[in-house]
Amino acid sequence: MTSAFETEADLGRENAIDVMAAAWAARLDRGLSAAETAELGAWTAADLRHQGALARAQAAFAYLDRAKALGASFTGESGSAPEGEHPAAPSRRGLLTGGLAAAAAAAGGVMFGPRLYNRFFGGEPPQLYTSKKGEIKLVSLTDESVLTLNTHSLVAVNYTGERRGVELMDGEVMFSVAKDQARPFSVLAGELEVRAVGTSFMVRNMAGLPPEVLVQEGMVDVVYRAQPASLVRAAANTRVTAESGARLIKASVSPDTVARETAWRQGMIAFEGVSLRTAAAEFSRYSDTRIVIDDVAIANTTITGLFQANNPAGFSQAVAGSLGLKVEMGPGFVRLYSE
Amino acid sequence: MTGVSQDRAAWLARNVLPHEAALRAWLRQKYVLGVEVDDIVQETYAILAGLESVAAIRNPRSYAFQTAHSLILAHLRRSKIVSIRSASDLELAGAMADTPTPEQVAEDRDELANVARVLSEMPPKVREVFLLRRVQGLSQRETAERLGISENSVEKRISQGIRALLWAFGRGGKRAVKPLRSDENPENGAPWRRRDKDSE
Repeated sequence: MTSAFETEADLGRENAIDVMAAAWAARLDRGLSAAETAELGAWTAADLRHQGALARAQAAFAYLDRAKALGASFTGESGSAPEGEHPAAPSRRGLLTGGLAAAAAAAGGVMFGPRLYNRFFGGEPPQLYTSKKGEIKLVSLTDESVLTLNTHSLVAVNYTGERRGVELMDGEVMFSVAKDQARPFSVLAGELEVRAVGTSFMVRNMAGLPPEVLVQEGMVDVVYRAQPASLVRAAANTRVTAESGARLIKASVSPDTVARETAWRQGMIAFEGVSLRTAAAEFSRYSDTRIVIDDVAIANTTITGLFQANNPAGFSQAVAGSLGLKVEMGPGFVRLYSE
Repeated sequence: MTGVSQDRAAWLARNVLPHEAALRAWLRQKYVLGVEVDDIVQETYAILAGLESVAAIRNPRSYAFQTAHSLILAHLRRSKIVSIRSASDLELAGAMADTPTPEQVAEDRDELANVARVLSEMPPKVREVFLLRRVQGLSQRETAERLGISENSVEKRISQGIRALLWAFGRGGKRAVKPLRSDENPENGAPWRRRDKDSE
């Protein structure tokens, strides 16, 4: 088991004991048979380092709980909306359930070079693209497909000779897919897979929300990867939402809705009849300046309009002007209130 | 001994793993002929894992440094060659093991960012197993059912992921990795090569 790694000593010398320890930690996590218990006992008794490496491997696996618990403070979103102000968001936006984009962007760089990646996981490493909060990023791929990353997103692109694979780990991305019948294009978003030939569609995969696909042009197939029978085919102006229990809900939407929901590509946010509370939550995706509304009646007021995504203050002033409200500007927040 | 308890694993994850990069950097400085950093680190974990109780340990970082320090001394006593330099350098161990400075705390937080990066670079097949098992709290069997794969695959992916994490904790750290923009070719950057050179 270890010999394959010893021949690649130049790669950074993965510790041979660690390889064994990782395998044992994985087995311990599922429970050992009697024979395995004896085998592990002999292995740990043979060398003090074996015991230590195993404890360290178990700690590394347990570490993910720690990273999860760090939540918002870890993702660096110090200015993000506190609990209760973002109705759709989970109460803590942990590392593993979201916020990967912020974490990866903050970390910068790649951890594994191609050969190291191949050693750990096999195959080619994906190319990662991230956008920061408030940033919209255009990525042209080798096949002339174009990805437009909305604020705070993370995608991994993995093209091979046979297939074009993209994984949306966090955020929202518009895909304009170049036609290439020989190489199917597929997007992974959580438990969903979206397959396309030549089309344009948007995929959203955000913490605490079910993944969603919005088709602007052409045709795509959407499927729960573990449930091939769940496949639905969606044409232009269709929204597909993942529901629990591996169910996919398909709904027709108007071209206006599609245009409104993709307005972010021009750096805009479009609202039609949404509450100020929802609008404030939407702005918090793009800016660290929070829109604070203490008055429930005001928060429930609905608005319509097209606004600059990176300008919550301008939005608040426009709203205040038309609803007869007051605006208070503070460090990191804008408050809307009535007298 | 067949592995540590969940509690001890969590304690090590919370109190020792984040300081491991600093511990390794310090051990490399104190380089002693014939003593491998990996060995000392593994033995340090073995001793921390074998403690009856960790409740009395007020400063785990300091405790881990002191444990590693005494292990080096034990190695030195066993070996025939003791260089004067290494012995005198080791006298300074106490200073290194004190309460962490703000810079050290910042470095430890970089370790968290490293883990996030490792996760984001894991193939989706491996990452989704970690998410279901560790975040949603499914068992390995339930994870296998949910993903429509064999239990053996789940176990193998967990093992793969742990290896990658171990590597990150052992070799990671802000000082060693040059930032690389996502639109640059990682092949050209090959940061792990630089990192290895730095560490020797």
